[in-house]
Amino acid sequence: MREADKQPSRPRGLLLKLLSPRAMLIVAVLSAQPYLVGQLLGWREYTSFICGNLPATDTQLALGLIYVVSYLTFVLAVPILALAAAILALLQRVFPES
Amino acid sequence: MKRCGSCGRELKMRPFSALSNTCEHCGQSRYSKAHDTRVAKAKLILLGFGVCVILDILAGIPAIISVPLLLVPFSAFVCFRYDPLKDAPDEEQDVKRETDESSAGCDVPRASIGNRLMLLALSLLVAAAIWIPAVHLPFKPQLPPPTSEAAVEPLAEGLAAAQVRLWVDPALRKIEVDKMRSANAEWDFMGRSFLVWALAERCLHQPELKAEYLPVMDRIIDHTLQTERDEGLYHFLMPYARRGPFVQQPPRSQFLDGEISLMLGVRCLIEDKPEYRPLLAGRVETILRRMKASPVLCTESYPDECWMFCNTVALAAVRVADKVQGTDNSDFFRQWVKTAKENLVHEGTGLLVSSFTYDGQPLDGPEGSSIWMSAHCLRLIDEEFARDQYRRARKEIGVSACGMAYAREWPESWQSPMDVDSGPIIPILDASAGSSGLAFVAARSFDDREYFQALQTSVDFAGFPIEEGGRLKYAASNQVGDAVLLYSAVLGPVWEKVQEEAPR
Repeated sequence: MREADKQPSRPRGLLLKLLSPRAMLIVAVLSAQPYLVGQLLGWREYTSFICGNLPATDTQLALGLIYVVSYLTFVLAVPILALAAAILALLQRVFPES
Repeated sequence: MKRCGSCGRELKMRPFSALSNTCEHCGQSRYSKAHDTRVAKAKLILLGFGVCVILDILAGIPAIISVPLLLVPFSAFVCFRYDPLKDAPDEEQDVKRETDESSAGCDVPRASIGNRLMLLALSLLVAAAIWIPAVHLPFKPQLPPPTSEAAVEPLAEGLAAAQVRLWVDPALRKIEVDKMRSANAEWDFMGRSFLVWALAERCLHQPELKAEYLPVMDRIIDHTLQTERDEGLYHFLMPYARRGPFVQQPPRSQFLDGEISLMLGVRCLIEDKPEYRPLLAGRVETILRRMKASPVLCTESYPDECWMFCNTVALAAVRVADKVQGTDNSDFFRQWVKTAKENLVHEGTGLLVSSFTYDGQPLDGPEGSSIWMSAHCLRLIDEEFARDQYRRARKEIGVSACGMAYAREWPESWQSPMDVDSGPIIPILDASAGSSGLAFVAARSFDDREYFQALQTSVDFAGFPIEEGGRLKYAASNQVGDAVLLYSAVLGPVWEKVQEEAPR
């Protein structure tokens, strides 16, 4: 029974891992992927809806929207996550949780 | 089921009960001491963040300085060296309850996760406070020194190459024009006007470009005049122009007359072309006759709809024609400014209204898509009045933050629904594509380098520039948007030339 009782500790350990600098860096790298894909496939061309010029098809409009969201994630969220990972690692080193 | 951390009795969950942390049975804190400590620490850190924000607003100390120097050490102290509840009685059972009951046999103390969450939130907060004020730095352009005689923004070369190519490759132009006309037929026409005005500016900057640009300017002017002759005035107007008759007869649009006259005027200013002289003289004579005959010295662009944008462009065209032809309409200009100040100024802001009826009844208040260009054109008519309009517009609808800038379409005291002139409005920020684009023109015209640079940073950040073979275009824009940017990057010499030896 005691061993069975200890089973729920795993999610909590996993949670601690998810709150680590390494996990934040992984999230940052993964968040950058949609932008890189969009950039390689040339979806930037479909962003003219911003000025009121709708692209020729609904698909192009959707790709343009995806590109804008992924770009904003890339330039705003990814650097913040990467910086936060570095700061978290530094804080953990300076103030170890014992 | 939740139990009180002090008396252990079951807590009743009522609406908003989370807002109170006292137990309704014993009156003590309903949570463990460890929990209360974490909450108190989080509140202190939030308070520190608030102080940083206040320092930024009141003392002008940017977050990029106050956060690392003040908030980080303060937060670290609060997290690891400060116990806000150290005088409260120890509750050993709290720890026991946390590790034994709530954790259900967990080998990781709950307090570790709480601390880690706090550290993570703090890290994200600090990272955001560092990055957001700095995000503009990779996009910040280097502007030429203000004293440079031939100061051309670096983007002008690429934009001009891309724009000129559209008039060399008809298939490419058709694609661009079709896209614009499906949204607004006016953009097709304005894209031509701004390009001709921009090329004229470039010719004055660099006279060696005349050989390349004058034929392009002539092609655009000839094609526009031909289209107007063949298709009629409605070709370049939005469909609602056909809904009713023009008050002033015969029907003409100041939108077309003003911009075509200015195209002809700047073309002849760069280098005389005898074929264009009578066309310029005839159109300017028509503009003056119709404006003088109207109650507020402005005439219609659409049926019973006069636009400040179109009428101020027309005034600038008359002024350029004065320079080209050696005529003098300064009395009319003075009269126009007096009439406008008396009848066409919005009370709340002191800005010129954007549209009004033929009789001078305002239809709209001030709008960014109109006032920036109007202020620029009015420089040729009354420099002081124009500068005052720019200052007011900058205060009412210009926005700068974190090294970037944009413009709203409407001031706080006048709101209107989004339309084709404003372009899409970005919620919360109230940023308007139309107003922001024309803000470039005014910022450059009034030598507001700080605002111009911040606008340029914004457009490089969110305009999605595409460079290819020395040509530059903004994917988030269209041909008319790029032509406006090109014009704003090079404008100056034409107005200077017109103002030389101004007739008194």
